[in-house]
Amino acid sequence: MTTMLEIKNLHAAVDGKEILKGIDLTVKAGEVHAIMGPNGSGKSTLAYVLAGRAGYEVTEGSVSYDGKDLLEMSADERARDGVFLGFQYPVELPGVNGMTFLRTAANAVRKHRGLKELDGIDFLKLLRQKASLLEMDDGLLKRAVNVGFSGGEKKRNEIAQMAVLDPHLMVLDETDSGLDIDALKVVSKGINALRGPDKATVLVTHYQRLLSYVEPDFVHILARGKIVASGGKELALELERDGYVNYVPEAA
Amino acid sequence: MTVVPYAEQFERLKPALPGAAGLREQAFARYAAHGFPGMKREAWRHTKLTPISAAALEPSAASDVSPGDIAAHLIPDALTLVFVNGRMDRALSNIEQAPRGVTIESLADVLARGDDLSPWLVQAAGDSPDDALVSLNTALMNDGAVIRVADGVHVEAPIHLLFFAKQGGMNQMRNVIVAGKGASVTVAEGFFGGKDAYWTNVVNQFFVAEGASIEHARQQNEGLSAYHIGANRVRLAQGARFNSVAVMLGGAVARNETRVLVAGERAECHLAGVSLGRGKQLHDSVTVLDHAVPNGVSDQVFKAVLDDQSHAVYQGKVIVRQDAQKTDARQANHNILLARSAEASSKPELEIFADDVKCAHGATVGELDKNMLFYMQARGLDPKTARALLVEGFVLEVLERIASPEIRDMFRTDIGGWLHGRALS
Amino acid sequence: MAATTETQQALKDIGGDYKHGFVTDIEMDVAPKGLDEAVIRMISAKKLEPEWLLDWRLEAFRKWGKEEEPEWAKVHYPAIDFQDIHYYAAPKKKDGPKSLDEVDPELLETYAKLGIPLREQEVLAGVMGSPNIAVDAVFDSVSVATTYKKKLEEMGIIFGSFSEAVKTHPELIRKYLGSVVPVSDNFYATLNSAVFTDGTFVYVPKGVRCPMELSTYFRINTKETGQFERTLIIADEGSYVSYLEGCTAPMRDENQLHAAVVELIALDNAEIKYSTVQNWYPGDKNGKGGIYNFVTKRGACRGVNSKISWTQVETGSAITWKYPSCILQGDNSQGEFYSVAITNNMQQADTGTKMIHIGKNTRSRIISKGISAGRGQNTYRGLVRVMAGAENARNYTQCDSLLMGDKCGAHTVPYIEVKNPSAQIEHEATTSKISEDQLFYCLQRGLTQEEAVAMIVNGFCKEVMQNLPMEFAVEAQKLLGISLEGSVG
Repeated sequence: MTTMLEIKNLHAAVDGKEILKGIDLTVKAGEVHAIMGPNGSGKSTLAYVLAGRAGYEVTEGSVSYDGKDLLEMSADERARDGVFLGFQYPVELPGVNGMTFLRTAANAVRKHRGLKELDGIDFLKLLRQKASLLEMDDGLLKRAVNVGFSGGEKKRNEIAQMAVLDPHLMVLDETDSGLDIDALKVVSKGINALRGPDKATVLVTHYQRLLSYVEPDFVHILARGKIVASGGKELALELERDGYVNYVPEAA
Repeated sequence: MTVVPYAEQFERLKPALPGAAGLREQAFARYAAHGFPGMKREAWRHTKLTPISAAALEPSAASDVSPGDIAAHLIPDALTLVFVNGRMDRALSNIEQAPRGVTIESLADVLARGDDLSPWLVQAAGDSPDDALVSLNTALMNDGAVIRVADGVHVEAPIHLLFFAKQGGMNQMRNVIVAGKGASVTVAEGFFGGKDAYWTNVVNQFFVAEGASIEHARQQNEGLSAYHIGANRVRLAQGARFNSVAVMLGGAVARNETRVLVAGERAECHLAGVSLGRGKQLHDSVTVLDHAVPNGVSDQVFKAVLDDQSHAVYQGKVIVRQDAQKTDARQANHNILLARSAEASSKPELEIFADDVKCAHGATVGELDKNMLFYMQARGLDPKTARALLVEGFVLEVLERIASPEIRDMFRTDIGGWLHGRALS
Repeated sequence: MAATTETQQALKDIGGDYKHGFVTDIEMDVAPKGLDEAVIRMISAKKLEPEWLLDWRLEAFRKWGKEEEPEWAKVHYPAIDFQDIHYYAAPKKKDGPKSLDEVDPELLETYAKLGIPLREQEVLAGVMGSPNIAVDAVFDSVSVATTYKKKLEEMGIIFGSFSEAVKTHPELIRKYLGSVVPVSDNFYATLNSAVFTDGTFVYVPKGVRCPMELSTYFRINTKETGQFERTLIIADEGSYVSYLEGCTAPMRDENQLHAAVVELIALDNAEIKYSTVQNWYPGDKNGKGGIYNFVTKRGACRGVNSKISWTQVETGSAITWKYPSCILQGDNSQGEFYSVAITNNMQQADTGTKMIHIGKNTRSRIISKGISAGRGQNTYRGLVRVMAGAENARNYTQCDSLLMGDKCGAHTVPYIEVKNPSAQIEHEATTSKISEDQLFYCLQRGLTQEEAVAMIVNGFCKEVMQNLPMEFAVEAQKLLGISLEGSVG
């Protein structure tokens, strides 16, 4: 299998304060990696650094994606090149219609891939197809993006966007937070449906419960800006049982 | 050049005015360059001043009040200064009881002994025609209070300035309040008068040093023929706080103008006002909140309840200058009209030159909510009581911003009296 | 929505320069610079006007001499030399075009360059089966082509140039001209009354619903020509008309003055919808050149249940000074004002509305969206006045400002004056900027910075844009993107 993402000795700072202190991680196509860790360990920072958010300064190390230097690419280039970040707190865009937003994004990605841009009718077809795959209706897309959505609706909307944009590397930041069990099932189903041999997923999560529905190949524990342990899914079960106490003493 | 009103008085009176001769001359010249602000001045377009500019009033004659006259207006345990017809009444005042770290003096005393207050006083007025009456006040100021609170001193007792006007004429009052670094003080003002037509021209200057806090409460209950022109100038240093609530009940024409310069970062300013109008009263509330530096917070709530043919004006301006990023400024103005010929004018203005700010304003004019009235009636209240309760509730929201319970109660009594005199049907 | 994609395409195509900056070379008939009675007599004579209209102009001219230029608006510009302006410029013509074939092909070419929607060019060119938009084009000061006139005439609708209407329907002009905007209403309106050259006249008779959007394109073309149109629209009892006005002007170094007057009259149960997309040359990045747009627009809801709705998208001009207003005289009448105003670079806009509630149960609604970028200064100035007799008046006002960058300004100056206790007046205003979060979110989904800004701004303006007729909405959306180019990043 080809290596999709290779993170080497990644250090990153926010407002001059070092949050990531030397992360090494290799993700191959077809794999699902879970990054777990207590609050403040740097999980979201890692996700933002991968997506290229301004203000998250890489001070050392490298990240290659499909053999390219990811850190040299702007946030939108990364997205068009197939890096998708599922936000922990999806942002509200008042007045911006969901359908318009997503179609514009989809066509930006398609253009980048040399595919024909979709007109309104073809886009709607694609949308319906993806929605049925995810067993979602497209009602949310008729409204302004995320405005007035419940927590669950926002997360479902993220997954719907992911389905339409068809990314290669999916970085999902706390996608399970704030979801009830039914919403968690719907969202997990969506994530599973989008898995594939040429795609990779990085799940950033605090709790094990998402991992009961989306089975990871590898689990990493992030603490104080470093990966302190790696293993298989049994590691997540261990955390579920013992908490982070073996890795972060003060978490006891 | 035509002679401006009060030129003759100034020439005649100035030898007898207490101290600050040079400052008075300069201020008069600044006033004389523009004269009275006419109704063509945007900020004065509702305030008709011709009766006091044309009449060229003389200073009120010396007079006195009895302890019984003022008893109802006293705040328990306050440090009180009583002014009658523009002069301090020492017998009725108790400023000698001021605790350590606080000096409270008569402005006339301070000026007469030659203390140079001009570094403070000059800051009240610029060259704008809108400032002309403040300059005139500097030229003619007769008395007032000078309150100085030393650094770090917390004054428990409210300082209460009571102004009584017994006969016609003019009273040019000037108060200077300086709160040193980290100090805190409460200053209340009360204005009361008789039936005669008279003019109170009062200028207050508040200097709030770093980390200091001033609570300000103002009760304007002048006689119904009076002209009341009040100007407040507030300067806030870093981390300073100013909280002001002004109630307007009296006057034929009454204006309360507050200008705040937010000169230090993380300063906070809260301005509130209630205007209760009747007869043909005009109540003009004017604010200018000038955010010059980042991270300032300001909010304003002004309300008016208007009966008969009264007219309330709110002209509020928030300026957020280019450097004043992260400013959070809010303005609200709500008016209830009780009578067919009452009038409300509102102009909540924003002038914003910085992009990372939160600014919002809202204004409403209307009558009492019919659904609420019906609900109250359905619970057995007669319409008059229901209305009174709604109006009172509307006004009390503002009074709740007064920190001192004693002052709040006193204001509430005033407002209750006003409400009972209304038909409200 | 297709429009958004087109906006982004347009953003790429244009590359920052004003799209409409070209000068059409047609022989012009130009009055000498300056203004005196002789020039006014000349304009009146050129247009073969009746005596009463000349007198009306002369009266305005005399009053203008006594008026002062308004100074209360938050706009700054060097003094205008009113004697250094041509007050009349018309394309030279023999007898005036009788059919579209006679229209100078260069003019048609001009419209094509302007990006007047293709369908409307077809209309202008008289193509069979073209859609239902009637276009009256004002090229500099004189109306040169009017389409669909026949079809409209059959319904009794009068739609054509103002000067033609003076000849064919003098009774209507005499009755209504100056009845909403009096001769000496304000400095610029008075000037217009003295020197207006042409404009549009519309009359929709009783009970007629105008079946198509009426449309006019204004252009300012000749160097140093002030343009003074006069528009008069009358909707008789129970009628309806929707009027679209689009404005572009070529690039010029000197500032050009534009002082139009628009009067609308809605009688009982009539409705007028007036939409404007204003894209005049805003001047360059340093504030050199550009149009001074000092316009007086006012509608009178004279009849019961009448309605006037103004929608404007103001992206052009160096200075915009305009307050499309509604006088709500008729009981149950309604006024609406929907506005988007953008100021970028050195542009200044002071715009808003007046809603004067006179009749009972009158309603008004104001939605204003101001966007400031670069060094632009954007002021909303509005008046809501409820007169003593206006029982149960209702107004809702929402003014939102969006700031892009820290060199621009956004100002809100609302006046609320209420003399009737049964009124319910609500005013809200907010100021915001495009948040880093919103931008990043869009970038993360693959949009470029420009696309993201265009999209967020379109979202901010949506409540206004959706009031534009379809024919204009697409163009207006493109303009938003173009106007804000280079303002972020």
